[in-house]
Amino acid sequence: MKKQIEQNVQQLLTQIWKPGDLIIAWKNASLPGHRTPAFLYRKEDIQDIVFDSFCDISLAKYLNERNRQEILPPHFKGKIHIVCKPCDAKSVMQTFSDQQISETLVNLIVVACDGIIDRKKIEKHCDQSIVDMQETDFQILCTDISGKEYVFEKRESWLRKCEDARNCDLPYYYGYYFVGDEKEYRTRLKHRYQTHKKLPQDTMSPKELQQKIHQELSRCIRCNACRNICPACFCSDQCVFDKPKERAKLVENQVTTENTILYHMIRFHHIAPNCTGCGECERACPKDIPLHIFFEYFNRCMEEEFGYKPGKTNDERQKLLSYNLGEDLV
Amino acid sequence: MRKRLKINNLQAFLQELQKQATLIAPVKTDAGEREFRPVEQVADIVLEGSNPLRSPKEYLFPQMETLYTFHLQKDGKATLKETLHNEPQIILGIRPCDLHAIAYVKEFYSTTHQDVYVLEKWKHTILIGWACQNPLNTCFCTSVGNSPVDSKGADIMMAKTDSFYLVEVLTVKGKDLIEKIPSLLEDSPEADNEVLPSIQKQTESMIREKVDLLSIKGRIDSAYSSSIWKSYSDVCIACGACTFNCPTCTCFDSADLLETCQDGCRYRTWDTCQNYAFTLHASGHNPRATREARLRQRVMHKYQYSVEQLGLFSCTGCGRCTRSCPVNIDMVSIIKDIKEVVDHGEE
Amino acid sequence: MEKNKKIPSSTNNPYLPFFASIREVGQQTSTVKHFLVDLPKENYPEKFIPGQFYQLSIPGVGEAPISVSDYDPINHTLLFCIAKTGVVTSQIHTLQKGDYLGLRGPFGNGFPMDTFRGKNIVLVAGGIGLVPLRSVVEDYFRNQDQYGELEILFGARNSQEIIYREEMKQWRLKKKTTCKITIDKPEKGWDGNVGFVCNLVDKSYCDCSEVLFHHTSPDQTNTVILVVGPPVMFQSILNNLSTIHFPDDLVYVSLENHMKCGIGKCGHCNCGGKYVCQDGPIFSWKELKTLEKEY
Ligand SMILES: Cc1cc2nc3c(=O)[nH]c(=O)nc-3n(C[C@H](O)[C@H](O)[C@H](O)COP(=O)(O)OP(=O)(O)OC[C@H]3O[C@@H](n4cnc5c(N)ncnc54)[C@H](O)[C@@H]3O)c2cc1C
Ligand code: SF4
Ligand code: SF4
Ligand code: SF4
Ligand code: SF4
Ligand code: FES
Repeated sequence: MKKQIEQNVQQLLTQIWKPGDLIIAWKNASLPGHRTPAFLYRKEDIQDIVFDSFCDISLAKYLNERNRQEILPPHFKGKIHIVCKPCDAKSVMQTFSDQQISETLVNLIVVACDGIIDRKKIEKHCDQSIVDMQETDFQILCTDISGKEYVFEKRESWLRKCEDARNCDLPYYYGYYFVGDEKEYRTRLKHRYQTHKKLPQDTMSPKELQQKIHQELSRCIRCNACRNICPACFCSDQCVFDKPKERAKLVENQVTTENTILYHMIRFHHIAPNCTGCGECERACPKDIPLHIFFEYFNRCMEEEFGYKPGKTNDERQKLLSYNLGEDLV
Repeated sequence: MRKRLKINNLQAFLQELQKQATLIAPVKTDAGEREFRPVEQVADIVLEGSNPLRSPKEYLFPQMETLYTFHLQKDGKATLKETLHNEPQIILGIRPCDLHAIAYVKEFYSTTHQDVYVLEKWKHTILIGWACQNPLNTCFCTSVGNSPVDSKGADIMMAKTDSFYLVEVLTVKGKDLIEKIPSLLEDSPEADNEVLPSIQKQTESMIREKVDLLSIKGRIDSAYSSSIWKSYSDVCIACGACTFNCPTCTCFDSADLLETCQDGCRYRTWDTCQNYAFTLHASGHNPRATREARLRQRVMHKYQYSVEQLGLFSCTGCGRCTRSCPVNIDMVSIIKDIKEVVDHGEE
Repeated sequence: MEKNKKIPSSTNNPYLPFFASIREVGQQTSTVKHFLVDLPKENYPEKFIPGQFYQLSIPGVGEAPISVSDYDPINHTLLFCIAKTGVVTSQIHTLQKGDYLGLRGPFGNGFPMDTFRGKNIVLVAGGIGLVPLRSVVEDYFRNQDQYGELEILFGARNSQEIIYREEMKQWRLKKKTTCKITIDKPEKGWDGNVGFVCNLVDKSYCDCSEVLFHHTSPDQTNTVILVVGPPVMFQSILNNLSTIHFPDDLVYVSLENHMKCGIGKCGHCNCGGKYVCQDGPIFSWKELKTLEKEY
């Protein structure tokens, strides 16, 4: 079934692609269960495109201005076709409302998705390093370096964000292509959706929560992977943590727990109005810090307080960062 | 000098080590990962299993280190206090790739101007190697001319067999240590010559691929203007996770910190060449403004520049960069491309 | 090995600054000041080579690499000339006579002055780039009989930004010395050269080749050209020089990479297989051609 979807994506792209366009999609990387972003400029490359349960990386990040500067060839005039999971599509929406790229430049192709596999979770359950990883409809089959075989249920191997399907709904936006049966997707989603899967924040006292945050974040090595992978972070080289010239340097480079917590606190608050809950920060973290549960919490607060979910539409104003003239300011 | 250690004497042996100096070894942390940490209880030590993501480099070149503290006097002059650390320490369970890394880091910091902070620590450190039997799918040490049992750089090398541990003492430092330890060790018969080669054969058979980089050592700069860099840097998000986990990255940033109006310190922290601001001039000019240039810098430093400077690859093939890259950039495919370009030119 | 030995201190820790008191501060332009500092006896440099730099620091603020304008081997004073560009340099600008400045150095290779003996020297400077070249000028005047002629070509953005005005007046008066200044755009009350200093090199190359032709045999082996300035500027000068096939081993450039440690360890200044702080900052054009273009 997955293969069918992959073919459909390729077919659609063959139809809408025009010379001079860029396609951003996934392709195979050399290691088992690894997929990597692909930037394709030629029709014959379309066949390299992959879509399966291992396409964990969100491609929305590559649309923002700074990334386009790096990637696009000079004098690029074409369109960008970007293949997205529904959750990433919301990051693309957010990129539109943050005015990082004009909608007219982008063809958004949303692919019906059944949950993405958390590769690290699987790797943890294997005794040795994995040399082969395949999927069937409901299972993941692995072989490790010593030849031992493992079977995992997909349902139990999803990324945290896929578990409660809170972010799998489709954006309110009419300009996208959908690959798969949209109606069926929406029904399937209802079954997967679990209202308010408990976050640690819901059950912990502030004191415990503080301890938990402290404990988790003390492992942080301040590698910046969570910041750089974040599709909502687009300050790029002007980030306050990067000592840009003549701007307040908020956090010392010193890697102490205090500074690290400050670093994350600034990020939690700064990103809250743009965070679509894509979970990329958590996935990127080489130390497996469960950042998503922190962002998720802010995300919920935003929803409860303002009835606002970042990335829902393409032109929503950011609730914490914008106001109308004459509006009452708190 | 080569000895045998009985399997059930291991705990006692480790306890003896712990008595001699701070013992650092892979232990299981609360988060469930294995990490090199100062050992509290020798029972926590887990020697087998894959190489920890954080290398033991940080015990010679910590992520953050105070260079000196200062006290400002009224006239603006300051009295400085150097903060050198030379607590004796034993690092146990170091894989050959990390032994190489430590040897490289030590070599790098000893040339021309000596970095006393690293060298003092090195002088007071005993390195105990561990023949590697659990390669990861990211490992490629054989590509850069290392082997999973290479003991270069170790004071003592250990290897596990089914019935005993082999303990090979390689340096004077190692010998001094072993001599202090009462007779837990037994003589090792001639037949033990075969232990390391057989582990080597077994482990190497599990390593996924060998790209022969030795044959193009010193000529890798001919790939400098190739188009391969762009194909990877498009994907790269310039986070620097690869450099923060790399056991041979030596770059650092330094800054001052005032704790009170008068007292403060100058410290250094690891820095990464993948960051835009790393090379930014005061004038605003940036010699490595693009990710392409920065990714190339990292790779070229590993395989070319360090060869020009010290005659060594500064990549040990540990695969940590691949392990930590959030967008799955694989060092092995990069070196495969490099080799292709150096050997056959651009298509 | 015993546990908990006392923390030792080392005598040659290259990261430790020493402190020197400021003897004189002077305003050069609105953003440039010069500082003359007295070196403490134990910190006299064993040998100073023009073109070398010191790491200047203020505890609690930070460090910045600054070239030496002049080292006076008799009074043991160092002259620095510092443009206010950022955090550290701004703080240094607030220092007064009698204040202390942290110093580490001298670092870098400096100009190979020995190989310049008997040759004519042409200095090409853009803006603050004149600073390291001044140490060459001073060395030249101290040992003038050992060198040929000296020609200084200096380009400033505008007439306000000309540094070492007084000194240049003095230099002009000396024998065997010429000194030309240009500003980028025409200005009221300015009757000197206008245009980028690269153009000056074109024109004046003829002059210096005249110098060359007059005084020595007609080959290009008897003049060295030292260029210091921003990368765009020295690049275009090198281009000009290449059109007239000037030998690349007689041209020297000083690079200005981002630096932190000054001793080839922190990696910030890394450029190809070289550390600019240690293997440079002075490179001959010939070496520069073999370097990756990352400066
Ligand atoms: C070899 C050399 C000689 C120099 N000589 C002089 C001189 O004689 N007079 C003068 O006015 N300026 C000189 N400079 C430039 C001067 O070092 C920078 O202007 C200064 O570092 C800016 O520091 P800041 O903290 O004020 O600026 P910020 O912009 O606040 O810089 C922050 C940090 O970045 C680093 N940094 C930024 N830009 C540079 C740079 N271009 N070079 C080195 N480090 C940088 C420094 O470590 C500095 O601490 C020289 C630079 C080099 C490399
Ligand atoms: S990715 Fe993880 S380790 Fe890196 S800075 Fe973020 S939280 Fe810290
Ligand atoms: S230059 Fe880059 S690759 Fe080399 S040591 Fe520094 S951070 Fe690592
Ligand atoms: S470059 Fe990668 S493989 Fe090589 S030593 Fe560093 S982390 Fe290991
Ligand atoms: S970890 Fe990957 S994405 Fe991050 S800087 Fe390194 S190569 Fe680039
Ligand atoms: S300034 Fe640190 S290596 Fe050159």
